[in-house]
Amino acid sequence: MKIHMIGTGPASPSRRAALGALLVGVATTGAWTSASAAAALQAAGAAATAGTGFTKPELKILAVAADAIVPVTDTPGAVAAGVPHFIDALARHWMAADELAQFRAGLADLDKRAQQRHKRGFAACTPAQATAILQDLRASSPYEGRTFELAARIEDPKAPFYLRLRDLVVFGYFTSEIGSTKELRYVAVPGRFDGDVDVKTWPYQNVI
Amino acid sequence: MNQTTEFDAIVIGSGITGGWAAKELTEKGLKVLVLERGKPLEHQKGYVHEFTPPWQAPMHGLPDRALDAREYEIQSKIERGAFSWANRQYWINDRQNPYEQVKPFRWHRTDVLGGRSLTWGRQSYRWGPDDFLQNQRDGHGNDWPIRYADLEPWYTHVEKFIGVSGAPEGLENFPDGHYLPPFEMTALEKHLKRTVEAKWQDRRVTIGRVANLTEALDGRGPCQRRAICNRGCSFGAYFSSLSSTLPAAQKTGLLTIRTDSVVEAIDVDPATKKATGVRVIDAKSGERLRFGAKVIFLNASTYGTLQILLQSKSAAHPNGIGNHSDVLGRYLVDHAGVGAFAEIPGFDDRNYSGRRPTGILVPRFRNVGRQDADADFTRGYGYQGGAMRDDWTNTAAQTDGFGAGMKHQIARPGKWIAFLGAFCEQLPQKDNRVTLNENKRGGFGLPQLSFDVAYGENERRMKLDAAKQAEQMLVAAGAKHVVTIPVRAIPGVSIHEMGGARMGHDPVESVLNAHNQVHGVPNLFVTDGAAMASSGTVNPSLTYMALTARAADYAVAQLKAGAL
Repeated sequence: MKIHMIGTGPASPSRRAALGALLVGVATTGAWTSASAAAALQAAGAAATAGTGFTKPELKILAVAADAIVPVTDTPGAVAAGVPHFIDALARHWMAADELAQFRAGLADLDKRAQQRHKRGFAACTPAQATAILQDLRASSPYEGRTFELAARIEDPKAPFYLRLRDLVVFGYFTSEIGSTKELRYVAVPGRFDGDVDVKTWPYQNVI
Repeated sequence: MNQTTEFDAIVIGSGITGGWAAKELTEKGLKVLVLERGKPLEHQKGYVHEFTPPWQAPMHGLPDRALDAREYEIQSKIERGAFSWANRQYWINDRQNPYEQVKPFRWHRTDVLGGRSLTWGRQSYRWGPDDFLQNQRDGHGNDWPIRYADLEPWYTHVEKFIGVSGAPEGLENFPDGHYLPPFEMTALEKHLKRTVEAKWQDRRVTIGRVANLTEALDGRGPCQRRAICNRGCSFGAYFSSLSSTLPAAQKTGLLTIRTDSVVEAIDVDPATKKATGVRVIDAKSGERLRFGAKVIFLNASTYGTLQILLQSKSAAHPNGIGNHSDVLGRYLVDHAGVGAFAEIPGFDDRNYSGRRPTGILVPRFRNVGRQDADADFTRGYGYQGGAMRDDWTNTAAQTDGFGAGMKHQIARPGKWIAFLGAFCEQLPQKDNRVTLNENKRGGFGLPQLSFDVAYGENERRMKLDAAKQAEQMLVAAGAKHVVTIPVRAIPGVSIHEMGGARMGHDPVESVLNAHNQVHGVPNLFVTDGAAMASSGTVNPSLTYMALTARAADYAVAQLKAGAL
């Protein structure tokens, strides 16, 4: 699974070239559709990610937890969308030391709970077992804060491990390419705005 | 110090008004030098993150907290998402450019060619006749030396060039302009409009008038309904200096642009009493340069302009140009804010597609033409807002659940939420001011600008009333529970800063005359927000543009007549 990270994409020569071609096309024909935008963005591509911040066992715990939080349905789940790698990149480049320590301790706690309850590591749990452990944790993880924005809650130092894990998985998934395009309908260039339509004709959000 | 090429005119600043000054002056035949303190930025090619989807954004778009805290402490706090990973490079580095806060103040500024014309909210409203009369009527502030009729043709001139989409409303104090077709309202906005206008005959809900092209105009646009304008738009579909005025000026062959040029001061000849040129620090080399011209337009953004005037000290102007009576830097005004939002049920079968780059607006209805009996404040406010469905970030933040059901729920269009945010007029007060602190040095070794600005009792009362009236309108539209939130609570956050070099009849109580000339320095014009004598209740940029075009027309006529 590829995940696109720091220093990739936006400034790469191939992407610039594709964008340039696209804009020339716009200028000469005036035609600009979301299909052509998607094609151009795909052609532009982006490079793969770097190494790992979590240990391999930690990443396995994270993967099982991520797919319990955003499971495979009629669309791919969190692991297919690269969410463990996204959170791994956050661990390496974004989390503060105390946040990372809290997160690591939380992963270890998941493992401990799995041993106590199912006599196996969290990474070896079935989806049902992992879900039961996470439900327990959720019930015992009160959140005192209040925000209206997911990104703000992710930064809230008052957020317990359960909520941080859940929010990062949700955020990582819905901003991933799979989450953005298969579960949501990311449209780079809508081209038009219809302000008042039957939800049956467009049952989607209009994500940026 | 090098004395380099002479120009007919120098324009200091390349933002909304600097771009307009450059366009008008070159199109009238003047050889113009534009000085921009920030970095160069090329239209289209410079918008490096314009097409970056969320999954290619650094950290999928989460704020870079360490970098922002270290280098962009002030800029990263901009409300309404105008600062992000996608346009951080347009904003100024706060660590390298500190300023003094006597009271908490947010100075939001860019550091790039095109200035805040790149990042502005694009809301484009004419001021009404009353806005130019209120100072005279109620005695707060000085009388404006111009009236609506003086600006009316210039509003039209500007609107035709920049392209404004909007709907005419036929209101006397919320004048209609020259509009491209409006964006459509959502189902809930239409409902809010119907209920509010039925219940209160003096209230109107209209679509935001915005400088986005709903139809192509002069080779620009049309708007692609992406609503990521502040990254820069390669379609040129919103008005910016880079998409519009600077290319027009360039077309004349009379324009020279010099970026990385920090203006230290303007020189005035004590004998002729005219400005002779501009002293510049090259931001990259540190070299000091001087440029001469017959006319100077100062368009460095309100506080940038005031800083340059205050720094322009000489024997004839010991406290800075235009400051012989200690008015320069005073009477700063902005818009105080308060917001209210509510969930409104009953529209789950309606949605919208595409992304609209504007909201809705409720023009001022308080104290219009007379003092309302139940109002314990003077002047008034308008609202800007919208009614949209929660997106996944909102829905996800309202619960802590997980699993297949949550995944499905988060991805569907969420609850309908209506929001109204008030823009409250701030009364001009002498003590709301900026000064230079010579003992503290900021960027390029220049003195720090020191902000001593606060909202007052009238603004406090107005905010309470605005919250109450917003709640009543939302309840009328079906809200069960209205949440009031502080918005733009700290001065500066509205980024509608005005005043400090206000226009006026009297050279003792004002800095500029009716044509934006500095009293006593006839070839120096100030046409950005610093010129404003009051704040009104709508976004000011369109008025700055009209003032600039009008002043440029006057300046060229005076120059040709040999009067400058």
